[in-house]
Amino acid sequence: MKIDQNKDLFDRIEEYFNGDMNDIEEKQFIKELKSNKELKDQYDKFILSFKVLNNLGNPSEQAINELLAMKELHDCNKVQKNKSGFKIRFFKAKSFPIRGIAAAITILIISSAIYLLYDRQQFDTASVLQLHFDSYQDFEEITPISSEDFSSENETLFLNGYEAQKNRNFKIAIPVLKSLIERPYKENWSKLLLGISYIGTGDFDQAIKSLSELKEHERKLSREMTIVSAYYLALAYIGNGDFEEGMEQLSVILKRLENLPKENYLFKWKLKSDKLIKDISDFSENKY
Amino acid sequence: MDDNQIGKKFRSGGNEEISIAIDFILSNWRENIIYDIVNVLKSSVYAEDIFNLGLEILQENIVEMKWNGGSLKGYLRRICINKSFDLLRYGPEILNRTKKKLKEPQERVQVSTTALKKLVTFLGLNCTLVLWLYWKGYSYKKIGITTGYNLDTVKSKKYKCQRKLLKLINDNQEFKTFFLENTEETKDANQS
Repeated sequence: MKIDQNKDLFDRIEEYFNGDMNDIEEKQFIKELKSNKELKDQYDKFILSFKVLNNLGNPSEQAINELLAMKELHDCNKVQKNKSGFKIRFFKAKSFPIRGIAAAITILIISSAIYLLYDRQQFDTASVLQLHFDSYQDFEEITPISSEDFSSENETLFLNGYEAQKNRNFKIAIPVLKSLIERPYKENWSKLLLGISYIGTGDFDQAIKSLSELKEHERKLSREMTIVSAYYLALAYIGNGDFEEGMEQLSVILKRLENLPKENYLFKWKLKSDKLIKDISDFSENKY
Repeated sequence: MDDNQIGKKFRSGGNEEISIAIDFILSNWRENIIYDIVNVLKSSVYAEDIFNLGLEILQENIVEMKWNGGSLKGYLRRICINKSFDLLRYGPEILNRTKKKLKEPQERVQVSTTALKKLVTFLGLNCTLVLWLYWKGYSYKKIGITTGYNLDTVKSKKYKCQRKLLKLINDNQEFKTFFLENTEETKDANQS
């Protein structure tokens, strides 16, 4: 049997281990292994590479998810770093004027179509929601800064989830936060962040589920956690079209913060809730 | 007999069908795979047992739809090599599957976090992910679905990453010390 001389040793070994050789080729390969020292050396090293992977054990679904989340985060950061480079290349291109005009016209047509086709009621609700959700960075001020060991694996994962969420990479944040809840690690914070992430992706049902679970353990929560979770639960209800329930959550916040002095760090949540109630009321009046 | 026919025979559940599939594997694949097992174990004492164990696992994985459609021979070979390394690490106890199922050591089903992190630092995240999934029997298609790469990217990544790994085994002393020599650190990594 002829052996393809163009293939290097690695290719042949790879074919062998992948099961891509037919029986005759395999027999020939093993025969050659016994006489070709170089091939045998490479074959042994290939076996050692399996030993390296064997060290990792059996991947659980959770471990794979964590690795995938890290990959997405990594890819995302890479894209952000490359963004400026892309702009330079784009503007340097000779065809920029044509491309630019074509892109602008396309965007204009698509935007008009969306505007015309989009259900008016949903659009308004989304605007109100978006306006209030955009201010969620205020949440940073009561960020769960950890007193625990920053180098611990759980804490690293938590910070990854938090960072992803802060950067609005909600789809990346969600699996990380879910895995933290499963562990469980900083369960309440993770549920709160998970709820917010779901709002960010527009999955209000899941957001309500996650935030309602928090509400069930309200007695164990700190005051700020109770307020913040109620606020986002209200947003989730509003996003889902359940204004009544949303308003009820907001009124609970206002009641709890009724006599709060302006200097208190939670006062802004009172203002935010007030503003949201006002916007929702305005929207309802216009609608009906 | 092609891979799909073997798969169908195992899934049929009929004794006669299963016997035909097993006979085919024994007469066509056994000898070469035993050769690989002996190369890992450096002995032929347990080679036959490992092959039988591999065949048993293969059959289970096909029935439980864990085999994702890659080359069946390559899949069986990887299972057998994996089990050979398990035998070296945990001893002949792994051959007794009934016992193993009763008291599965926790460290064997959990990922070795230290080893994983270490491999990521050497190989990079993408390579570790692709090689690990491939090693665990994911087909190229399933790896593509899991990682978001298209089929050609998965194939070329797997190829390049395997080369990268071999280069590390060849040239990098720190890598060799951690993964291939039986140091205390490696033991800790394996037990964590």
